[in-house]
Amino acid sequence: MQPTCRTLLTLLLSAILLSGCWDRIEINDLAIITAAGVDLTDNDRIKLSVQLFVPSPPSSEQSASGPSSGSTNKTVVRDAIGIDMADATARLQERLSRKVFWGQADVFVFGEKLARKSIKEPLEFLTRHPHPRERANLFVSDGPAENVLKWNTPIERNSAETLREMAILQTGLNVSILQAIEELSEEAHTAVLPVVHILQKDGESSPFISGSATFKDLRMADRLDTSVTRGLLWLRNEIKSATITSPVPQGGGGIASVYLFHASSKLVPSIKNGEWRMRVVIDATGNLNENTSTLDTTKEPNIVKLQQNFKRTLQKRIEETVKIAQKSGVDYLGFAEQFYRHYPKQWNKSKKNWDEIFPKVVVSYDIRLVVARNGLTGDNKTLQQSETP
Amino acid sequence: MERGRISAAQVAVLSFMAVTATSLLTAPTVASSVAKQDMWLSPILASTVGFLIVWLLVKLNQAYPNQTLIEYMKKLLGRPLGVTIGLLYLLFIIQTTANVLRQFTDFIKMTFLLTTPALVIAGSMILVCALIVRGGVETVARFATLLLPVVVVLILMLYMPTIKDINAHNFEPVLSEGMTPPLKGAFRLMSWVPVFTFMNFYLPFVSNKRHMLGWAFGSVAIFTVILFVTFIFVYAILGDATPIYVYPFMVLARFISLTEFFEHLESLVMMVWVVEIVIRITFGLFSASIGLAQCLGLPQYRPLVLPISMIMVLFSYWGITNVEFVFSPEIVMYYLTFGLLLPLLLYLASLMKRRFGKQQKDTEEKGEYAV
Repeated sequence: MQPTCRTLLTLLLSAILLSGCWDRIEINDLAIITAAGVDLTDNDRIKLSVQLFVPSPPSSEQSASGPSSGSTNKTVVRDAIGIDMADATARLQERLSRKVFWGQADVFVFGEKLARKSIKEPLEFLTRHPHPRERANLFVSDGPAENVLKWNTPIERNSAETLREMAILQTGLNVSILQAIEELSEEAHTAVLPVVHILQKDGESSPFISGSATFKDLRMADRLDTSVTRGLLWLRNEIKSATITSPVPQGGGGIASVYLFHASSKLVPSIKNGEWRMRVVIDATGNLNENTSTLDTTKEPNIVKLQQNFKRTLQKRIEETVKIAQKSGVDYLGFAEQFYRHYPKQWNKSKKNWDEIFPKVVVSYDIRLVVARNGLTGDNKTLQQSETP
Repeated sequence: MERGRISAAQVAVLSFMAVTATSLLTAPTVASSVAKQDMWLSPILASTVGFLIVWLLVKLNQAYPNQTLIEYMKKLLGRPLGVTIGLLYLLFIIQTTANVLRQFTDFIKMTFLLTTPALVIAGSMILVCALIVRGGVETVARFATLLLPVVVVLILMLYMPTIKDINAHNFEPVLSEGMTPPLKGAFRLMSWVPVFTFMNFYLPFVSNKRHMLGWAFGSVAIFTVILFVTFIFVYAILGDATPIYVYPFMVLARFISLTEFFEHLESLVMMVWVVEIVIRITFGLFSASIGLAQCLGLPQYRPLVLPISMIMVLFSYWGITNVEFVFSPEIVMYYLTFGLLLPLLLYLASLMKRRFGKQQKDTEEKGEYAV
């Protein structure tokens, strides 16, 4: 065969492959899921509701329609009921004209009813399926998860985006699928997920992250309110910034606040004479935010006094969380993991009795809190004098 | 049969890249399933076997400088036995390479191209590899060296953004159950390390043989370091969840989020994976082709490349219903038999033959077995 003939033949043969874009899919054939909610129906079935992002390409009609050409992207919520997640997804597909795509789903909300039963079902699906991302955020909703998805947000693009941004701000918990799986596979088999609460006000609903839900063996065990959750964040070393407000008894009954911009915590376990102890070491630095007490903040000893007050308030906040956790007997504080890491032998021996040991763990606190700066005013006499009768 | 000449460094690069190929993606799961938080120790323990294997191969090559394992086996064990074991050894090469091909197809089919027929994925992959192998030993070796920077840069791109997510406490408690778990982990890693034996098919073409031992050890050392670093990163980030994921390296890449902007890096994993797999398959395909030609006493190996490629595609389906088979502990024995035991026995045979031969032909010139 001539060399030119051979080249031509090769080129022609490679054309056969050109037709084979089996996995080609157009963006307007995809139902892009931005968030999904999983609920449990009354007959123990899984109800999957998804928030779809419908991209509408700019067309000539749109520009003609006038000023409202800004954001024409719509958010649609659809749902389907199935025996498990995979089945519900298949049912959902029947109701959609586009192919379900999980790759952009950043938020998964579990309804409380499902959470109380077990989150095994959705988590198994989300980790096994190749599309959902490990960084997607997990939430539990007060009431049905569907309502959270249906909510139209004024600020962000959709409610999924709003929830994700709220979680990232870290005033509450921020838990990804990977983190949840990691915690569940640790020694205590517990996890904590943030809770979305829908606030009804003036006929308008606005969901926000309020507190958290604790899980033991994949089942929701407890519901923690916001302040207990904050205490939990301190224990888990997930606090980014915090404002601590405490009364100042030394300063004429005023109040002072500090804004902590650096905070870190550490759990130090110890076992002595069969007594299990946990020392919580906290290191925090902050700026004075407000001071309505009569204490003169330009003087060093007064600052120390203020620090003492803040420390006490902070300790009380954390103590409360520990107390609630020990009372419930569910170790979501991560104590088990710490004991396992530092005392593997003792841990393996008494692993089975952990539920009995955990409430008896003696917790001590070692808090170092520094007020580094006093703000722009020093001894603010003017304001304090005008207040005194 | 093959007139190409390659350098010791090229063999080293080719070998460690080929062995790293599949281990990068799946080894963390296999090791962590038995060794848990001590899994980082497993590659270091496993490397001892790697060093032993390459030492044996280089020593054998020094005894028979211009021969591959198949050729000196025929000489050492006699023709009938040598050819029989040689064919079994070639079957081992073909089958393990076919397993890699299967893992590659499965990974692609599962995560990226769901509806593309598996035959197209496997076929196009093997076709590229066959073309490289037909180019000769120089092409095979240079291809690996050429792509080394690409792989290094991509792997660094995957590791660097994850540094901030590292939690060193995941490795505690250190060695809480003694050395047994990491040793078990090292044992499971033996389904990768013995692949270093394929190196024997490249050693005869090395031009600077004086440096071969150093480079061969370097090759195993780099492999160990890469695996060690991967294990550290994977376990520091995934922690106790490592054993539940089949491709933890992939999870790592998907977990990357650098300032919420640098995300969805799984395509980089895909690129690393494709490049590495090409190198791994060419590594095996060249070995099998030249080995078969020598085993059967053929003058050329190039005509065998395409038929063997087709056999590999077939082998990647025959008898493998589910890819989990590749991770079973039983397969380790298979790898060790051909990867470690065979070179070891051949080395012992060569020692014995040398001593025995010396006594017999004491007066004759002793040029052939000079070590």
